[in-house]
Amino acid sequence: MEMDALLIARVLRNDDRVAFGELVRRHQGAVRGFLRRMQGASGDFADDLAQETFLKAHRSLAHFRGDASFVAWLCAIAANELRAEWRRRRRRADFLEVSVHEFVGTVDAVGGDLDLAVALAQLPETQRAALALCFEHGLTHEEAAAVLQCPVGTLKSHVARGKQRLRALLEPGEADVHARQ
Amino acid sequence: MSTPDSDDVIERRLRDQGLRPADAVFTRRVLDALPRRTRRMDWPLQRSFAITTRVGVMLALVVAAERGYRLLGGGPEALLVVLLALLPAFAAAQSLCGALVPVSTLRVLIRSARNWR
Repeated sequence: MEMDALLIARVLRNDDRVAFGELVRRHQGAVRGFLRRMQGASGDFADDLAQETFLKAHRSLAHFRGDASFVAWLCAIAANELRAEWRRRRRRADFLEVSVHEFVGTVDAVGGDLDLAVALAQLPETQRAALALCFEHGLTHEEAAAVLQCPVGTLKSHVARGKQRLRALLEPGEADVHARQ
Repeated sequence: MSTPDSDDVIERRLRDQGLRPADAVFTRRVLDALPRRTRRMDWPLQRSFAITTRVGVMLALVVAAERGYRLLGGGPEALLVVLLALLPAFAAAQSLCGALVPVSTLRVLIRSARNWR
């Protein structure tokens, strides 16, 4: 975080492209990963949104107050980009159906956990987003709630339900045992 | 309800095997897409450059007028010739460099001249 603050200061003071490149290098994993998890379709399209996220971040870097971590701020921009894209395409209804099939190629290309990806793709968007932000990208509950524009309590409920459902999908036998208990 | 142990496994799996694509090509792509830097001079620097230019042009005109006056041997006729030659030179310099004497300075000069009379 301290390192991020120094890099941000360099970008703001001198429009230092090397510093901004370092910020992109450090945080692209979280932004691109989150968008790929949420978008589900082609990795190229998620990367287009990730690029737009970083360009917007560069434009409005002066507005970053440092209340939350820089990565949480980037994820909030990415989530807004995604919402805008969904509104534009009016494809929210068939989003999930597309994602399960197309995820396989995307995850395979980056060497991720295929079972996990397919299971995550079957979760509702809010639960998938909550799990991705909190565990994959290490945001706090408060930061993730701010990104998803919901109360912290609701976010925690999405996390709990998402984990429960994910466990049922990944470990069906275990889930049956727990269900019987 | 899920047990804490099983939850930890899920959390650990998400943490360890999360989707975090990162490569130098993407970084390059973002940097290439950034708007070009416009090399704009700081406002104080711009202002001082403009003032220095005006003062330099004014001094050049004064020196040229003084040289012309001496060359013509001095006297009222020489002064008239120099002033007549100076007027178009001054106008040309103004059109090229902008107002050589700011309007506010001109007003002060005119007011002082009236008071002196």
